[in-house]
Amino acid sequence: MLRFVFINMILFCASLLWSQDEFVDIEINPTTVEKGQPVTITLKTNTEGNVKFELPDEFVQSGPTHSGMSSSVDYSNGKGEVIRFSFQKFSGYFDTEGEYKIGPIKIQTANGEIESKSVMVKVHKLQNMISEDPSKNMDKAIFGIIEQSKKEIYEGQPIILEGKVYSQIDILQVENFNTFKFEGPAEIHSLQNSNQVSRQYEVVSGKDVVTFKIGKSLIFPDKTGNYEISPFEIILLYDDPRKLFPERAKIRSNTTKVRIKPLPDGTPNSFIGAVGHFDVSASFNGTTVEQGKVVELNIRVFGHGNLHNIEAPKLKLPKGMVLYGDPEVEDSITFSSLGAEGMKTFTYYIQANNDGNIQLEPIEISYFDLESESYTAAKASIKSLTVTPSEDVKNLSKENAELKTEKEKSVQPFISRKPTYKEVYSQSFFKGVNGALLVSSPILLSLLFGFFVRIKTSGEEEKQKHKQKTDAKRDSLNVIRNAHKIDSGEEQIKTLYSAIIGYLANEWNVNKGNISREFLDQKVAQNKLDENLKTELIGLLNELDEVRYGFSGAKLNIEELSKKTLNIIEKLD
Amino acid sequence: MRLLLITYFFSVVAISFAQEKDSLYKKGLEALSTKDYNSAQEYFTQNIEEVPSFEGYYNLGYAFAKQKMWVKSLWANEAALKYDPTNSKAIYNAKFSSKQISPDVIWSHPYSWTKRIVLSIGDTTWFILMLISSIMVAISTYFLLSQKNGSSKKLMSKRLVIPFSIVLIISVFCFNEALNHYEQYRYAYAIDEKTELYLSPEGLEVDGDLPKNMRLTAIQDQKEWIQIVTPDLRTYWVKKESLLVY
Repeated sequence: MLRFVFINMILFCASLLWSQDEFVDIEINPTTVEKGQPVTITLKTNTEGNVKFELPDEFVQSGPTHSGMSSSVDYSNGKGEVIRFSFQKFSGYFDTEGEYKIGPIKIQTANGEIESKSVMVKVHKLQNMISEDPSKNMDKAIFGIIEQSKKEIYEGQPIILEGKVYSQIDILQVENFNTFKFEGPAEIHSLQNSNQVSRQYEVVSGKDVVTFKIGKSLIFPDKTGNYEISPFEIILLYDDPRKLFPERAKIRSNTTKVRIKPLPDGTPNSFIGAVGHFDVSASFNGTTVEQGKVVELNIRVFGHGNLHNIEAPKLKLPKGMVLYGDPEVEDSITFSSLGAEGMKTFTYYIQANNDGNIQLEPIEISYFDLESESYTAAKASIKSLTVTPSEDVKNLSKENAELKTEKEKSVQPFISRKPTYKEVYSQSFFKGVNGALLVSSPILLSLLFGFFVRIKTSGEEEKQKHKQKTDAKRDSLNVIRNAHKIDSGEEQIKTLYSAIIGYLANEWNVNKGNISREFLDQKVAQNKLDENLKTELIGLLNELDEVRYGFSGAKLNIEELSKKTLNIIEKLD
Repeated sequence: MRLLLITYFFSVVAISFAQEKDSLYKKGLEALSTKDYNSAQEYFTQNIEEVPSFEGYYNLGYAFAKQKMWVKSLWANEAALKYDPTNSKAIYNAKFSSKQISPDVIWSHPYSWTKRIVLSIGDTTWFILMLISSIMVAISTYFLLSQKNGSSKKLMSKRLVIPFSIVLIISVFCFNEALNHYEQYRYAYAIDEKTELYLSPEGLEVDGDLPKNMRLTAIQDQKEWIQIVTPDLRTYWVKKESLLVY
């Protein structure tokens, strides 16, 4: 008995589903969101088949896909009609700003392909609601703020950033920390291990709060301009007195900005690109050197700022001193709150070609001093160098000088390689009409084939359309002819009504919903429908409505109505 | 069998012709190595008249320079630049020769930077680029015409057709420039100040002098005649034998 009832129930549900028009729909809630804000995309359909649907790559699914059966009541036709459907629900967020077109969903069913509408989703930039002032955030139990050393800095100057978390409840553990990001080209040095934090107690707006700092970083921006520092994110485990177990919270800090100003004009010649506070010292690696030999000059620049990025100081060498290549650089630098701190040593290799007591000019470097906000010079004097004479060098110098003079007076030597003869193209096949034909022939061929394929494709499409139209007409006529065979009178009228509307929609290539009395008036105005035929058509539709809704107690004569309908269709043909 | 014989005959002719071309050049080189600059000049002159080449002109320029014939050396080095416009040795020797003629005059390269780039890339490269871009334009056009609206191939073709068309136009222009470059005389130097000047080829002779050490621009040439423009913008027809042209 129970089995019988159960089978009947299934058959009843199945028949209900079967009797509904096939549909597929897409629902998105909300359609205007901020980046990272949750979005739900629901696909609804009452049919089965191959589903073609793709979500944009920017949509990040953050939970499992829910699917199941549901129903809703549709009041659009004046009657409450129960619609049963299956659904699939995707939850997630968009990780990039922009406008996204979701859908259409296409389902290949046994009766052909059905398609949903598509929905546009606008994704805006995330609005940051956290204030830089902690006292303004006290409505939140836990919040984070980016602390920065300066709002405006000079090109080359470092900026220090640090995350600070305020909590009005007891924090048990820091589970994950995703640091802030400088939105521009920059060199970043971490000053703190984010796995270790130490809590402190503060009073903000008269309330006791627990605070801790995390992710202290030293940043050297590469270029001037205004840059944003995107928020840090942190996952915390906190003690909720109302619950048995500790709870998790994901905190997102404020966004902040920094302006990188260019250095002022009037850069001195001895400027080495240094910004901060620096000094210089210099010395030779000996006091005596033989003529023609190489001596090392060590210049040491020390201080703090952007020491790691400074250029080699420029040398002014007296006559007879020749610099060998670029200087070797050795540095001993640590990164701290003051920037890059330590010493950079430049070793220059200089050949002493003239004998005597050589005195180099003091080494001068210029840097941009952040305290005085001006260019400042630092000098270092060098002890003199004694160059002892050498006979070999004297003779070599003389020979070189003679060779150079000789070379300057003469032309470059002759070439003994085999000549490369240039072809004369006056009779070239590639010139003139032949050349033009050769180059343009692929394009001409593609035009020819392209037009051929286009004509062929459009012909096939026309045929297909014509066939579909003829089939639809034939189906409508069959439905009208067989309407009297349907048992229920109401169903007969519905079928007849649907068939005539379907026929008209097919005839004028529009949707069924567009067929109205106003539409028929428009067709008369466009001379696509005879005035008398329109009157007959409206009369028939009125008659069907009267029978359908029983306004005048009209009785159903399905055969007469079918005949009238067929008569009108014949005239329309 | 007959085909084989004909092929053999043409191969022998081609090899002997190449050897003949090279033999004059080799003789020129031998003369240069023995410092017989006069003989070298004659060999290289014959060699470039038969088959012009950068090496032939350059070595001719060297032979002239060694004989202190600076105008001819200047002409030969500039003519060498016609075949290799970026060669630093030829540029140096042209500058050097120009300085010997008039120390105050700053020598300028006969060809513009754009032309030097076009020529350096070479006509073969331009020809290949022209063919590739033509085929790509053809493929894009075919997909534009044959594909349905909204298809990915049509969209891609829409994006590609204009850039490839631009490349095609540029490569056609540059290929044409590269071909014409070697066929036309562009510049000339007067051998003698008292050169006979004419209003038209075989036409009326007119009075006038040509500046001897100055590069003159050639507009057109007809058989034994060449039309040149003087620095004061007068145009004359001159017999080719009276000029050093390239």
